Amino acid sequence: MTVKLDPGHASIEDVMRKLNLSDGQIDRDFGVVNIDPRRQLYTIMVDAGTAERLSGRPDVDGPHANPKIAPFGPVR
Amino acid sequence: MRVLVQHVFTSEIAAAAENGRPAPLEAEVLVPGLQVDSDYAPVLVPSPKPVEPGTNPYAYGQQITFQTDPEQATYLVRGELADHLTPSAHVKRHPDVVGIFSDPVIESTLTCGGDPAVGTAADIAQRLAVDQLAAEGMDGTGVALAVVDTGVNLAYLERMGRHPALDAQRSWKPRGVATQPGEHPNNHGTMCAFDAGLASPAATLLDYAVLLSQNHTTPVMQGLLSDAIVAYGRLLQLQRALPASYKSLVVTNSWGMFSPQWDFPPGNPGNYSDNPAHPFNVIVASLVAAGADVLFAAGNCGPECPDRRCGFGTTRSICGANSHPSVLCIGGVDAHDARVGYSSVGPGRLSAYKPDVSSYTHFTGSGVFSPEPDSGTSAACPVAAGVLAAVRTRCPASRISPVQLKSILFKTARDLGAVGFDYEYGWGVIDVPSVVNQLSAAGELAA
Repeated sequence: MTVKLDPGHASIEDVMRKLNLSDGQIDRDFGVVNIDPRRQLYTIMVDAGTAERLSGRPDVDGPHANPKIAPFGPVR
Repeated sequence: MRVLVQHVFTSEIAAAAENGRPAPLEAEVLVPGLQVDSDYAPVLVPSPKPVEPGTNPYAYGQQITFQTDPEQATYLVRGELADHLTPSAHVKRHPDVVGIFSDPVIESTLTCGGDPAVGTAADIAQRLAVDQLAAEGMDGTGVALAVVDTGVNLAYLERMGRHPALDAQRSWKPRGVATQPGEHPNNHGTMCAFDAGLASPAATLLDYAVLLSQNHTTPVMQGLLSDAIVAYGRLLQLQRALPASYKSLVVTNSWGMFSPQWDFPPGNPGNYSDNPAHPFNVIVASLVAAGADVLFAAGNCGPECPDRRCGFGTTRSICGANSHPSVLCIGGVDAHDARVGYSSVGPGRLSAYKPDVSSYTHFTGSGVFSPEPDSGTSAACPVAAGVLAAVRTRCPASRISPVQLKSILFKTARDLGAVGFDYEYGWGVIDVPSVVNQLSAAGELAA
C-alpha cells in the first residue's frame, strides 16, 4: 500500500503509529520504501486483512498487486 | 487451395499483363470450379528453349535461352480451386491452360527458441563497434551497472575470461539468501552480466539478486514484484547520493510478468500491468527522474514463437514497467539484424510506443546455458545496457539526461521493419557508430 509521509517521520514505527498497526500486520523485512521523494510517497507491505481495513483511508492508496516476476530467458 | 494457372498467349491476356490489370477470363471455362483472383494481373513467363534441340527445356543445367516475345511466352493468373476439384483439374482444363500449379504461402524463417545460435559474442562485439567505443575511451569505466536478476557469479565470469569489478557493498540481496553478491549460483543473472560486458568490460557491476527471493515455494528463478520494489528503493537512494567514484548508474532488467493471471485485472486500482500509479511503476519513474538509465527487456511473447509460459494470448504482452514511458524497452534481433520470433511486439500498455529499440540476442556468448545460446530479450537488454554504460563513460547523466540519451538512440537507430517507428523493432537497432558520430558532432566527446 502507498502512504504519504513526512520524510523525517518515515520509519516503520512512524507508519505503525500513523495507521494504527500492530506488529505482525506490517512486513518489517519489506520496510518503508520511498518510491517518490518529490511527492513524499512510501510503500509498505501488509497482510490482506490489514489492507482491507486500510483501503478507503484518504491518506492511503491500495491495495496494489504483488505479482510473480520471472526472468525472460532462456526461451522455453 | 490457392493455385497458379498457366495460360497460352492471347492478345487480351498479353495486354493485361503489360498494363498491369486483371485479364478478362472466363474462369469456369478454363478450369471447372476455378475462381480467378481479380486483383492479380497476369505475369508473363518467358518460355525456356534449350540450345540443343530435342532436350528437356526444364533441365536448367544445360544451356538455355528464354523467349520473352509475348507471343512465345505463357502467362500466370492466380486463383482458388476447391480442394476436391484439384485432382481432376489437369484432366478437365481448357486446352489454352498448359499448367496448374500450387501457390504456397511463403514467409521468412525467424529465429526461435531452440534454434541454433546466430553468431558469437565476437560477432556481436563487432556489430557493437566495440573497438570504436574503446578508441573513444568508452568502456564503462566509472559507471555503475546494476544487474537486477538472479545474481552474478564472478568466478564463472573469470573462467570465461572476464574480470569485471563488482561493488558488493552497494549490491543487494533479499533477506534469507545465503550467498553473497558476486557469489550467487551461476544462472541467468551471470549471463546478463556477461552480455553487458560486451560493450562495457570496465563497468562496475552492482549485483541485485531480486529473483533469488525466498518468498515463494517454486524453484529459484522467480520472485515477487515487492522484492523489486525494495531493490529499487535501494537504487533510488544510491542514485540520489551517487558516490563521486561513479559517473552514472545504468540498470538492466531482463525479467517481467509472463501472465496477467499473476496480477489484478486492468481497471482494478491495484493493477500493475496497465497502472502508472502502481508503486513499482512510480519508483521506476523516480529512479529515471533522478538520473539513472533504466532498461527493461520487451519480453519473449512474440507472436511467431512465444515462450510457452506466455499467458497473454492475443492481448498486449509488453506491460508494467517493461512498457514504462521512462524506460528503454529492448526488443531482440539476431546477428543478421532479423527480429527473433519470440521478441514481444507492441503496442505496450503503459506506453504504446514499445519496444523502443532493438539489440542483439541468440548468440554463443556466456555459455551459462550451454549448449543453448544467450537468448531471449534477456540477452538483448544487457547488451544494450552495456552500450549505454559505455556512452556514460564520456557522457554522464549530469550532462546528457536519460531522456536526451534515449532521443539520441532513437534518432541514430538503424531503421528496420516499417519506415520509422514500428511495433516490431521500435525505432530500429542500436547503431553504435551513429551514436558515437552524433555525440562527436555535438562536441560531447571533445577531450
